[in-house]
Amino acid sequence: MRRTVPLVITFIAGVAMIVSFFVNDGTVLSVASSKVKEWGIIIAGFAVVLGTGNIVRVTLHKAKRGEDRPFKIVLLVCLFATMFLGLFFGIDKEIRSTWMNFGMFEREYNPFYWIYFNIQLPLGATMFSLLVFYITSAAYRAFRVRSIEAGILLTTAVIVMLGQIPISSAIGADKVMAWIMVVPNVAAKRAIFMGAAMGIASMSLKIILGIERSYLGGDS
Amino acid sequence: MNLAKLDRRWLYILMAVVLIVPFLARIKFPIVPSDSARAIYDAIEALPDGSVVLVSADYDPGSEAELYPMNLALFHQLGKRNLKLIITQLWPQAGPLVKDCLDKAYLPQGKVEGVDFVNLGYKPGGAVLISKCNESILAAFPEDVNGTPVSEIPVLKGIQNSKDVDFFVILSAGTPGIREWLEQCQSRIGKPMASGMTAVSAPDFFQYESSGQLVGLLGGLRGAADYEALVGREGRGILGMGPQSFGHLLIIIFIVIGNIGYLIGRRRARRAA
Amino acid sequence: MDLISFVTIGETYPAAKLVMGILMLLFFSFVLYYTRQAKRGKELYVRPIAGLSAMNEAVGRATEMGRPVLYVPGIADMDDIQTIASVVILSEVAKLAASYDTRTIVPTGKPIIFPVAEETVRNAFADAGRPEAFNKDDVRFLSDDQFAFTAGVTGIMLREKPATNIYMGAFWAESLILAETGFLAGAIQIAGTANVSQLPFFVAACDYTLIGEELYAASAYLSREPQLLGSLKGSDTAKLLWGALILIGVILANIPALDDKLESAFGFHFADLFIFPK
Repeated sequence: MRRTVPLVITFIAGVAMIVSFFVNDGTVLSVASSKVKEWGIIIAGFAVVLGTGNIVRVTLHKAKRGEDRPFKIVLLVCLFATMFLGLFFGIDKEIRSTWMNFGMFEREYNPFYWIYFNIQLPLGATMFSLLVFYITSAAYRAFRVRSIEAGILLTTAVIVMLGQIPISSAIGADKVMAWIMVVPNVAAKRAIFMGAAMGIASMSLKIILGIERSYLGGDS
Repeated sequence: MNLAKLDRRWLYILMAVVLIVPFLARIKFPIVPSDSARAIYDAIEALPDGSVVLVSADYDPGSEAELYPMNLALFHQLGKRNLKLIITQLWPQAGPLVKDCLDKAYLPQGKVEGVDFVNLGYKPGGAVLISKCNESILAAFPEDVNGTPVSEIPVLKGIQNSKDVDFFVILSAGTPGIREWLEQCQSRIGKPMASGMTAVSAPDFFQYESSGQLVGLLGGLRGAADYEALVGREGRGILGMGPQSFGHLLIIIFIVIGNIGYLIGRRRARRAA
Repeated sequence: MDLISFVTIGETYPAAKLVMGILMLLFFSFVLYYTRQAKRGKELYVRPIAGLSAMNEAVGRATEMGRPVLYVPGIADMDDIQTIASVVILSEVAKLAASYDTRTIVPTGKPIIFPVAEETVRNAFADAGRPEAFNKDDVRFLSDDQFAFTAGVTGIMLREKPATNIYMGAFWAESLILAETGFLAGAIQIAGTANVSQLPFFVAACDYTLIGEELYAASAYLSREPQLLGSLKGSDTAKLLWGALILIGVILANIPALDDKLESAFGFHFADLFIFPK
């Protein structure tokens, strides 16, 4: 029972989604599939609460045991502070709900917005920019002319890297790069992509038909 | 010194220097926009007055460095034209970035919210939401970012679903993003679509350009610089080309040095054997 | 309101939708046919996939070192089929780890994946006969922000020092940050993704990488369940057919005379069957 119900729901929802692609707008099936889509959106919203609950539980648990306690406290304080600021001041640039303001935040930005631009944004950009260092060390280590194939790979990589910078148009590297991207790259990508698309379709079919069910948790 | 076993921290320090110095010195290079960027620019310029353009900002602070300058340049161009603009976000954290782009590039050109454009804000759901828009944008986004019911927004008059949109621009940092828009929207309704994306994901999408599903694509900061050059507004894209140029050259030098070290090591090993 | 009115050919979408439907049905029947064959006990050959053969050794290494296995199911949500494939592999990996009495740490980047992953690992421990060894804190939700999640995972790598890192699912810019940090931390690493643009990064920094559809084949490979193997064979057969159609298209596109001849015989171009109108 515990598994039959989800399998039946999966089957009905899956078949309805496939059929909805082939039927005209405005028919019972297309309306039903559009309702199902709305439910999907609502469920995704609720899952956020579940995730937040877990992060609080795991963090509290670890903090109690004394594991990395200062970090855990920082995490919890940031989590709740951001959440409450967002709830009370809204997420717009100007503070809309003035009842919590008490004249304290007479500034251009609302505190939530301020956190977003001055903490969240630079932190995200910093993590992303770490990539440049990792690419440097990975390229230094991985790009070795061990064979003819590796040599071709290296030459291609150098041309593409040159093609990404403005001076490349002086030596024509941008045109060569464009050719590499549009011809050999697209050919290989299409082949892998088609294979992956078949994989997706067959995986979806297995799920719809209940052949693949381990995502529901174990075999029990 | 053994080149093959060079401490990676030397590479990191050199890279940091090579990126920071041109940035502070504001070294600039002349930009020759790619054909792909030009195709997007020309397609938007060719839209008749009153056409509907949908821009979906599906990115967040993590990819802000690459996609925000594109967003800004795009809004500059759209602001100059007499087009109806619909803005959506599939990523929760895109909202403030879009608002900032509107304030800096679009609104100063005399545009009025509700009349010239509508910001429908963020909605979860990804692919499902996009496919819902094929049926009804109004049902997918019942109200705009300010809470105004969409039925009361003048710019949306006569627009039912994605089929009423004349041009799509998707600024995409991952999923949900351009792939979902292509699969759920473009392949079903066949309207022209263009995209800006991070440099690293661009190679995945050239196939959609050659199949005609994408009018053009902007990849990473170079794409942003190209678009800034086309729009005629110098921004972070063009300024970023200095550090990017020197960074790429340094990586190439590192690869060459790494290989010299490798070849010397191999020769020594052969002699020893 | 009519109950079902199928799209009429030549109206909203011409033949393309019909052809798509026929191809889809063909594909489904291949999969079902081979699944049935496999159920009846027909032996099906699957070529070895290095990354999956190494799974046993990788988990074994963590056991020997007394350190946990880190399993990252990508950063896409549950509606991405790569994530589902990843959860399926997670179930096998966690079972393996549980049977060796080794912890499996699973950080998740989307709230909806978290309960699914938790349930999967819990059941894997139960299936391995050690339900009491399951630690609730090992399956965690970190953040749905891409780089906050990345920072969280690299933090786990450096603090809890897993001996084996497995990355399966949809990855974007964080792929190299994760894989390079894992490499520097000295872990044995296996990755798999259908996000083609991330493959070079994984190949450069991981010991084994599953490419594209190998990710989807993994559950059949690891579990050796006949039904799953059958579906693999079915989709490969369909791929042969697709390949043939592409070949026909390429030939006709390059020999216009032949294309025109066929057009006058059938009344439409071969390519029209697959083109959605602009």
